Amino acid sequence: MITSSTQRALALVLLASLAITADLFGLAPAGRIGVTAVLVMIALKLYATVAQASLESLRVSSRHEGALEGRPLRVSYEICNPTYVPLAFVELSLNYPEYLRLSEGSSALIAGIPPKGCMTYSVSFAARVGEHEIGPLRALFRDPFGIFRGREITIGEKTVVRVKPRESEKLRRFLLSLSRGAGMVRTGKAGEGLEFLATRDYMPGDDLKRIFWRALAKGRLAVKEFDRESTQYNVLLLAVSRDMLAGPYLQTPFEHAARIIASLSRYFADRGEHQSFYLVGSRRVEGTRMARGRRGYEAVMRAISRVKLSSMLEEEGFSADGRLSRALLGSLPRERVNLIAIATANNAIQLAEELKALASSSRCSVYLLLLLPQLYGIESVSPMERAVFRIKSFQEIMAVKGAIKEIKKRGIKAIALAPSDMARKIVRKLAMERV
Amino acid sequence: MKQKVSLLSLPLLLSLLLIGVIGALERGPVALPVYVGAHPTNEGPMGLSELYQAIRRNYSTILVSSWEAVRVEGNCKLLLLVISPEVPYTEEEIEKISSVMSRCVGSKILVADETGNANPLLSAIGSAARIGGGAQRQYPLVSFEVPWGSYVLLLDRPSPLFAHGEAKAVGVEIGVPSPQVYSFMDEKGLVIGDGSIFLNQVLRSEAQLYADFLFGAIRYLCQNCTVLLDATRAEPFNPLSIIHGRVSIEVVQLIDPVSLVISLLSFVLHPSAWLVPLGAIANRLIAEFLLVNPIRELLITATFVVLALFLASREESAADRPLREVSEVHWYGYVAFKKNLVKGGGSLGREDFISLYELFNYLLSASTGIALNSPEAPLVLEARGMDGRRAREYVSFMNKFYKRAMGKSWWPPVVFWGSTTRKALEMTEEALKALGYSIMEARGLEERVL
Amino acid sequence: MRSTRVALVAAVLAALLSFPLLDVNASAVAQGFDVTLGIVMQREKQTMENFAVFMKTLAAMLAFLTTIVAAVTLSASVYAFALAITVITVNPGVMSNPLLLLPLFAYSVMDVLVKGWRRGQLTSLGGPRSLAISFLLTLSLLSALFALAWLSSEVIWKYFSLLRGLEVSSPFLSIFSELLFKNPIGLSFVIGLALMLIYGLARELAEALVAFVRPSPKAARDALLSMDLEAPIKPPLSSLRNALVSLAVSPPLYYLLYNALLLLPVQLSFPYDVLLRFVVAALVFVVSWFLISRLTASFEEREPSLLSPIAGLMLILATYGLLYALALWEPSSGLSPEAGDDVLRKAILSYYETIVYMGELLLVFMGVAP
Repeated sequence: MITSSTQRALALVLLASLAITADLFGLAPAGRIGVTAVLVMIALKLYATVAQASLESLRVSSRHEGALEGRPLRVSYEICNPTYVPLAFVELSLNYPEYLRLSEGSSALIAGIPPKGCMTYSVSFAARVGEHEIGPLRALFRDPFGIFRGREITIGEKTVVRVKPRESEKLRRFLLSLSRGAGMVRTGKAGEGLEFLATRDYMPGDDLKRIFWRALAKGRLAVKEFDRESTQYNVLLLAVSRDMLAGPYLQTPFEHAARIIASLSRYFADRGEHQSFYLVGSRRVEGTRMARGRRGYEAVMRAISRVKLSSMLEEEGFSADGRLSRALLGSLPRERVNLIAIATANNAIQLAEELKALASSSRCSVYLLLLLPQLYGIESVSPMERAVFRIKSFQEIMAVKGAIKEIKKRGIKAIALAPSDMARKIVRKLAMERV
Repeated sequence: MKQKVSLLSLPLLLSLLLIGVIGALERGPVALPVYVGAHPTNEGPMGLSELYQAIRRNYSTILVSSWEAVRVEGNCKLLLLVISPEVPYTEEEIEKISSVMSRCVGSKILVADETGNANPLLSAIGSAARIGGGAQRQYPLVSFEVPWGSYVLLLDRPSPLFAHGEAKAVGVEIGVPSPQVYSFMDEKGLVIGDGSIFLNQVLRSEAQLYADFLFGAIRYLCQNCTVLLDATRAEPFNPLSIIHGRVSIEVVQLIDPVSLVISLLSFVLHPSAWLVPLGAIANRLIAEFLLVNPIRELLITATFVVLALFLASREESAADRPLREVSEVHWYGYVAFKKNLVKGGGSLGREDFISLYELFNYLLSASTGIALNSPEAPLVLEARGMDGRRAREYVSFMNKFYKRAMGKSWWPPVVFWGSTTRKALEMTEEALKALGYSIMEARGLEERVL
Repeated sequence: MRSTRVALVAAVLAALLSFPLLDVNASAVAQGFDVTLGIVMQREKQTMENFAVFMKTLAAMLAFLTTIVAAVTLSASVYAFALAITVITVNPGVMSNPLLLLPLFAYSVMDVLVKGWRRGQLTSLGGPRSLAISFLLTLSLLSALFALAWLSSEVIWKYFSLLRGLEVSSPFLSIFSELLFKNPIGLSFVIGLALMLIYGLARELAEALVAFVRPSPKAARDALLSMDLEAPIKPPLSSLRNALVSLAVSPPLYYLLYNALLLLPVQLSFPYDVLLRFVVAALVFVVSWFLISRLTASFEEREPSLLSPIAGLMLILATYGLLYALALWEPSSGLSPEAGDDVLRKAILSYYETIVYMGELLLVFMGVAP
């Protein structure tokens, strides 16, 4: 059956039988009304049957714009009716992942599609990082009286949208300013460079340009030595797990991590350093090729915008099975490498176990940033509730503290990050660890 | 039980049935006729069933219930048997019989009639014998001199015969002064003035003589021929007249009960017997009910409801619901998050107080090296900028209830842990501020602890 | 998420639309109270009349409440019930007032709109324009459909009215026709049947037409998938086929059973022995038909295959073989193939003779044959 009747059909049936009965028993000359009601029902059935067929031949095209975290992600569908049958009413409902939030428009609506004409349906989402499948549309035809309805069908295709994280401009600037002062990339060896390292006595052959004039004033001939700048290699690593999505919309550990990674990546790019990105989960290790500068940055951003949140929800958590260290050891250059890993506290120990071997090698320094999923959202509650929350979760925080100690024992520099920790804290802590 | 898919629909069968009923109605009622007199299907004493069965056993026999329907092949030989016709032949029937008879060469007749109804037939066929009609004597003794033997038979109430041409008198009354002729024979066949000798009651009796005579006659007249037994001449009898009591008991006794029952059954089974009266009753009832006020309304309502059900039966309707929408999840793990939040503080308990105590104790010792239960604690707090009196109050409050919570002291005896912890929270916040922490602000604890 | 604004507008509109019917019933209730008051004051009226007034007042109150329920839930069906109560018990005249029929259609439209309309709908559509255009188009299409329906109803209703004056010459059929065409209950049945047939026909026609003009592989696949693949298909006329098989199987069984009965010491005379033959023949036929139907059904339930015809054939052969084998041995003359042939011939002849005789009698019973 192409269309089926709904509970509203009863009204017409009742009207028909009432009018005919009234006429036959001589109450009112309404027989014609009754027959008309039945004929209207027939007409609507015919219309619904034909309309359902033309519903199935609708042509749908979709496009989307805006794929940066926090900005509106606008998805619009143009639905064209190639037939001569006006479609009223069509109920449309958009399929999209439950973890996306609509910021404008309606996820379902009722519309009419004119014959040989088109309608546009568009919605905006508050974009969040990752890869999202939006669409297809589900469509259902009803006649205007809702007496008949067709079968629910899907129209249009799935659209894949990849949203890139927003980097923190503040963090990047701060990193840049810090790298001059604190010497984030100091090799500690004298050589050609911009950063001042130390002074030493003049030796024949030294470039006159490097004479330390202030020391000469005190009667000592000395030259300035500069820190030898090395080509730095960085690996950014994100261990995804289900609890990475805990917390309010756009304020989850995952988004926090994504922003940190974006900012660091941008910083590395600006400094012309090499970088690669690894995404690890319970059963996967996905990495990008080591690349330098802008290319490296783009590769990292692309990779992070391909993270599927739906698959993240199925992640059981990282377990040390040697796969990651094999992949890393196989791909890392022989130069010195900074590895910055981000994981939730629940996964940190396992990840540290996996990275232990790497950390023990002299050419690799490993940093582990721990996120505490249970704290995300704490800003949205009242002070009293926050206090209660804190005393209830204090044991967990202490456990994290213990975990950090454990991780440090493995030669890994670990920092726990609160949801609000962003620019200064991270950099300061990183810098402190590096010195 | 699995549902079966049937390709022959019930409505189709029902409509076929309805058409059948209407057809049957249009033809009107049937009552299978019951015969009291000389008819081959009559099993009663006055019937001819014995004769019919006997002939059928030995000859190819056609039971003629309508002369229209008789079909004989060419090159045939017929023996027409007419026994006690109760109804006179009409001219069309005579014509039809003659045409049937004339189609076959050497056809013969055997007529046993005491009524004279067979006379037109006899003359049409060309037999010389005629029947007088009307009995003159009862039980005459008649001597038959026929080619298959000599018989002396006692007849019932025969009609005398007379010849209308060349015919041999073969049955003559004996033992009376002026004997009547009761049987003639010519080339057309045998005519007897009495049909009763062929009836069931005679053939079933011990007197074998009649049967011998009879079957001798047939054997003589019919060699390799087809016997036509005329069953059109008996007057049918309406079985309903018995129900209505219009029949005398003598006649009823003559009827065969089985055929009567079958006949009645056939009448009753026919739709005209029950559907028509039923329809009439329904018509009358409806007409009467429509005049009575509350019943009229009820009838109208019932008709309305039935008609509506009827019309609605064509489509199976399903509840129409709006399309399902995506239900967005804005906060994964919200339940777990909320578990650590207690609204209104009503469910703050002893354990929460202990946690709070330990939290503050940890922060205090971490930043000053002094434990909360140490006597220097208030001083340290004061040194960090807290009001001295408040600091002492706070430390003693916390220590008192901590001992109580840990079961080390029983004072105060009754504690409402909810409100106590709530109060402790507020006081702790103040003390923590002095240490540079906060448990109520968004930032201020985790960042510093970790 | 539903739009509260739209729901609010709809509620106001529904209230306005329900007003005429509410008015009719309210005045009926008021009248009923007046009469009741009068009766109470004067204490002199016939009880039957009082009862009628009382019932009418109750009905009007019920209709009033139902109307309110209909307006609140935007349910055209509930409104139709209210209308039915009013027409049948309170005031039949409302049937001819188009204002009272309007909510039947308006509520349905409003219900569809309110349930389908979500907050943010117009934003998603980029304004009300496209909705308005298609709404207007559909409105014109529907007006045309309504007009067509109204015009055709003239012809159809006239035809039904003519049925009332139908005269039938056959006295037996005339009672029948009076039952079906002259009295309102019968005629409502006939009209209902006719409308149902028209409806069914139109529906099948539409679906066939659509499938022909725009064949949709998706729809075809859905239709095929919606079938219960496990449901065994009963082949058409399978009961007839089973009847034929059982007719073929029956003669030997009949012959054996009948002859066994003849061995009983009771002797039956003419009509009774025929009756006995009828009963035995009918019994054998019905029982074997039933058994064969069950047997073939069990085969066909699995898979329609050659198995069931083969089984039927085997059954026929087995029964005949059994009879033949039984007849071969005769105590007096020993083993003789002629005896077997003879018995088989006799069995077949006597059985079919009986069946044909029965059939003839049945026809006579039904008045089809003289």
